[in-house]
Formats: sequence, structure tokens, C-alpha cells
Amino acid sequence: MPQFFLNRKLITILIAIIIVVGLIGFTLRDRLNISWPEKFIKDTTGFVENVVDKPVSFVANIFSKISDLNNTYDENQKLKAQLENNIVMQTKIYELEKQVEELKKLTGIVNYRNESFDVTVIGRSADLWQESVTIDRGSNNMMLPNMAVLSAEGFLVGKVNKTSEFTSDVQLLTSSDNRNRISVEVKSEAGSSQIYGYIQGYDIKTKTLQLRGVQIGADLKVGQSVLSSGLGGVFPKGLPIGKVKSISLDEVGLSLVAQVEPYSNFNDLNYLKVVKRVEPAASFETEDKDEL
Amino acid sequence: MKNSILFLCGYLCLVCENVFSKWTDTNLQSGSGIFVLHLLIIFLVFLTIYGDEKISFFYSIVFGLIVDIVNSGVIGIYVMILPIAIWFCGKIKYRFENKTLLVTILALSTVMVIEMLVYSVYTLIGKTEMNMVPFLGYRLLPTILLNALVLLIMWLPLRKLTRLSGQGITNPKLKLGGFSRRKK
Repeated sequence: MPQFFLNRKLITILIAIIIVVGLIGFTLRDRLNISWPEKFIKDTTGFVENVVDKPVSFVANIFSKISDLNNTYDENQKLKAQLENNIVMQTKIYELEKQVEELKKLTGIVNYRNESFDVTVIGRSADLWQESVTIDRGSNNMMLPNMAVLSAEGFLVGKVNKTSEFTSDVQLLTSSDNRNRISVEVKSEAGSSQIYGYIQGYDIKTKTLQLRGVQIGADLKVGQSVLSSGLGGVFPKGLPIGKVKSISLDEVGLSLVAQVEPYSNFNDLNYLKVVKRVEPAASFETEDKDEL
Repeated sequence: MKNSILFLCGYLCLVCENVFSKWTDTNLQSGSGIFVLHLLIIFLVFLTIYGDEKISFFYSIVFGLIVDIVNSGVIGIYVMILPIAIWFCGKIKYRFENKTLLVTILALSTVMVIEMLVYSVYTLIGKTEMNMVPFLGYRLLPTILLNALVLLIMWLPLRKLTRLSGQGITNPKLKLGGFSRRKK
């Protein structure tokens, strides 16, 4: 035994292993606040990434612009056809919005007013296990954990995971982390009852999200669109996620599982929107503060 | 001075990995598989073979910590795996004469071993649900091909850079003698 303790190399290695395993256990749990050395390293890396990213994005944009030019003619033709339709739609929307406002005033429903921020992606985790991206706004710019993140087109892509002073991490829907759940509703035809479920997990082969927890016998159909329901307490209501691609029974046979094809392209994220969920009660407070 | 340049280069490699994965995935990642650049590992292997393996070992701990903090938030995975791989490279260094061949094989096999070790640790702690077969086909093979290409392009600059650390010893016996004397 004494010989064992005299072997300094062995003892050092053992202590190192114990520390590392302890660190993994300590950092694996859901942490909303990270310590300041981590914040410092993250912010510094974020800054350097921003600097390196500028020339790279300049070159990449030139290439994408050239390929855009090739498509311009075709797109123009299609847009012209849509334009006439658009004017009719716009007047219709205007009328409907007015109606909704008036009806809301009559019934006294408080309007959800979600604040949104435009952010730029400055980096993507080099090893893609985590499926997360880094954005150029942090807790100094009003970012908080659990805010919903939308793509530039307005489709849900993920949530803010951890924030440091000037950068934050966005956990994407495609993350293989099984604690990543979103409560959703499926838009069904008028008249039938609403279908609720939650999205958990991403299938890398079929490139679909898994919609789980739908009751057997629910009126789930291929092609229906899936929206966030706002019932999970994290995301605002009504953010579009994707559409139902196929439906099957789950492993146990107690509920339906649907494969949901996401609207947004997770491989092409450069500019994002972060949406802050404003509760009806909280919105009164913020409005008061604005007036003061 | 030399050390700070080397440190900055290593840090730049790390940043390049992240920027690369942001800009390539549009065209590459969607279709044929997942391409992960491991410039930092290649840099550290070069530093081990052409430079001082002790500095390289020290850097592997520091950069392992940074990679863990920046990329996954789970500290302890790269901190554990990267130094083990680099230590092994340092041990194997003096057994071979042909450094060109050695550095090629070592860089690619280290990338492969680290990918597999990280995959197994992630599976162990439940961070990934990818199966073994798609991992090999979708991720490991494309990653090794990409890194082989990068290795080819970055060969000369990396070799020049890592020789900066000053201890690119050509006669292995000299170094071995030094080791045995210190042990006494």
C-alpha cells in the first residue's frame, strides 16, 4: 500500500480523473446562470468570432449574390403573378384586423404584444452534437434564458439557452438533448377540437421533429401545420414550427407520434429574431413603466 | 513571445472551426453528411511532433477547457480526452524516424479517436441519440475526409509555425538521454 501512495504520477492522474468526472456531473445539470470565468471566455471567443466572421461572410455573400442573380428572372415572373393577388389579400387583411381590434375592445381581451429583437449568428458549435448557435446579443442587450428564437422568415428554430454579457447560446429544435420539449398545438379545421402534444427529439435521417403525446383517435392528418401552444410557459403562442409529414403509433402503442417537417432550414441560419414572451399581466406593468 | 504566438494560433484554429461550421453547413452538411473541422487537434499534433510535446500537452488542457466552455457547456469532456490523445502522441513521437508519415497518420487517427471517444462519452451521459452506424457513415467518414484535405492544405504553414517553439529535435537519442538523466 505505501508504494501505491508514493507513486506521484498515479496519484496525480487519479485526482485529475476525479476532478474531471466531478466537473462533468456539476456542469451537466440545467444551469441558467454560468460563472464569470465561463462568461469571460465565451464573450472573448464571441468577439474574436465576430471579427473573423466579417471577411468570411463578405466573401460568402458575394457567392450567394451571384447565385441569386441567376434565379432573379424566374422569381420575378412568379412574383408578378402573385402581385395582383396580393392587393386583394391586403385589403382583406386590413379589414379583418380592424374587425379583430374592435371585437377585442368589445370583449376586453388583452392583446399579446411580443417584443422581438433582430440578432446575427456569429458562430456555430464546431462539434455539432449540441446543435446550437451563438448570437451577438447577450444579457446586456436584454437577452434572457428561455426566450423563443425565430428564423428570419418567422418560423420557430429554438430557444435562448445560456446568456453571457455580450453573446448568448441558442439551442435549436434539432438538438438531441431529450430535455428539449415544446408544447404545441396542431391547427385543425374549424369545428373539430384542438389537438395538443409536445415536440421532443429530431430524427437526423428523415430530418423531421417528433410530435408526441397526441391522444389516439385525435383528428391528426398529414399536411396540418404545427404551432407552439404557449402552454409550456416558455414560448409565446402561435409560432409556426412545421407541418405533419407522417403519423404512426408510439413504442408502447398508447399515443400517436407524428413526424413533423420543420418549415425552417436549420442548416442556413444567419439572421434570427428573438421573441420575448409578454404575459398579459406583465404587459400592463411594462406599459406603466413606459409612461413613467 | 513564441509561446504567445503559438497560443494565439491555437485560439484562432478554435475560432476558425466555429466560423467554418457556420458557413459550410448550407451546402455541405445537409446532403452527404456532417463535416466537422478539427483544425485545433491537427495543430496540437503538429506541435507535439515538430515542437515541444510538453508545451503541446499544456495547451491541450487549456484549449480542451475553452472548447468545452464555448461549444457544449459541459466541462470535462475535451479536457479529459484531448490531453490523453496528445500525451499518447508525445510518447509515440521518438519511436519513428519519418516525421512526415508519422504526423499524417497521427493527425488523422487522433481526429478519429477523439471523435469516437467524444461520441461514446456523449452517449454515456445521454447527450446524443445517434446510433453507431449512422455515426460512422454520416459523421466519422466525412469528417476524416475533410480533415485529410485540410491537412494537405495547411501542411507547410503548420510545420513552419510549430517549429517556432524551438525544440524540433532531429536526433532522438539526444532527447532520450535528457529524459533518463532527469529521471534520476
